[in-house]
Amino acid sequence: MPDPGYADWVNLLQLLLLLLIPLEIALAGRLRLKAEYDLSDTLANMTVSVGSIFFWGMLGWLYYGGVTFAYAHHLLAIPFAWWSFLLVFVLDDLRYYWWHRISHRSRWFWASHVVHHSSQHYNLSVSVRQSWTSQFTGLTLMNVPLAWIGFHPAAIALAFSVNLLYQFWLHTEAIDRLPRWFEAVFNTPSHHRVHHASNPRYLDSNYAGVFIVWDKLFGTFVPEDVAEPPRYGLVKNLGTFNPIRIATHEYVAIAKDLVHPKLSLVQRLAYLFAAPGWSHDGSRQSTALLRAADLERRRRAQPASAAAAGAANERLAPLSV
Amino acid sequence: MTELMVSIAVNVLLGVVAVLLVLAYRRRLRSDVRLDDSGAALAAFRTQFPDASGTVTLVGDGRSALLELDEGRRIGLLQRHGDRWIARVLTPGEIAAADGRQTGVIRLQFADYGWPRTLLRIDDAQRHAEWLGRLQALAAHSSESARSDLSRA
Repeated sequence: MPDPGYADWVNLLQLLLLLLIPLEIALAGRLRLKAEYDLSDTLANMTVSVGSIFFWGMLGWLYYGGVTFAYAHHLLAIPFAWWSFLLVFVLDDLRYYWWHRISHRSRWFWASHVVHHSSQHYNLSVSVRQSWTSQFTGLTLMNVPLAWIGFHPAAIALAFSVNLLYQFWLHTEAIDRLPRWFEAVFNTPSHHRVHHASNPRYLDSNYAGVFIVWDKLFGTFVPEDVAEPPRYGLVKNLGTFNPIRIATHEYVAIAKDLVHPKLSLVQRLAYLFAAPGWSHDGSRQSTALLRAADLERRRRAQPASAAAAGAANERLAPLSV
Repeated sequence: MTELMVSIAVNVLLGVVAVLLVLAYRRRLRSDVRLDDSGAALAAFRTQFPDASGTVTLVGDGRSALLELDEGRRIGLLQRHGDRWIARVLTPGEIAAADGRQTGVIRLQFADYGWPRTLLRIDDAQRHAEWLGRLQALAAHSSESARSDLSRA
């Protein structure tokens, strides 16, 4: 495989992006923009980030190995050119949408991705609070089809890197809304704030990486409502800043559920792969139940005339799986 | 691969140093979020459990609150975490142990790897005893349930 020669540029860009973290805090103070940082939370984010880089380095060969193997058996000879890069970038973003959606809708994958959502803050440092086990879940195999079709592994890796770098700046409250045309096509801080919110009406929405059109196309788009500010974090928030606990807590919870006595094999598999919040005795609340309860609460709180409008708004946030 | 790892690790280190510098400069190193009164505690609890109602006991100089929900049938706990709050309705199975041997202090151990323990300071001896009794009863219920589950297995 030829040396793509862009790795140094990606690293340099990453360095510049990290410098935006202190810049966000400084500018927020001077320009009165919103940026809330807590020292313990920020340090937890950065420490978790180091762990995620370490494990990516240790297990990254699974990603590269899978893609390289598939490319060795590719179907088409697609040249490494600007047009093929644009094409693979869009296709990789579609791949990202489904990777992200699965990561939220199945507990085995959620156990890995929950790390990124477990901060109650929303600032640039949260963007580097990433999973330690992303190579371990098996979802990296979703990159393989692009290589098998015939896109060069270096082009796929570049598209993947640019996608992740794009998402860095989404993690901020300092930017309110961008021009309407941009909000319509691209993922923005506003759309991604909704994705990180634990308010029932915002749960399981806005999975996009770069193009928000995927959410609109597949029925998972929910706009940010100024009347309901996002509450960041999990439905059941963590009480620790310990990076090891942050990175592994959902796996421990899964293990406890799996050894629960008197469960059938199907129930044990459901604890592993069903949606987060599933339980064999109905004692926990899934997203569907939380949203139904929230909708009922809104109906009770609203006059009858406004209830219909509320139901119409709710249809904008479907519970498709 | 090593080069890439070192490069990224240096980037992260740089980020940590930069954050610390800016936080120190802005005197945000310590957060001091407190509950002023029981109304504030209930309001904070309701952001997570909107239908909650009950009586509130502020503990730990406003860093935590215990709530008697549904006329005492359920217990709510609000705990400061950094400059945010964690709200939980404590159910059987959630508390592993409640220890009140230290005067004015209740140490709770949770059966939750994501929130292993917390410490509640209640200076009033009567309230300390009341809450300790309730929390220990919940912990005992947890261990009974676990034993019962195992015996059925």
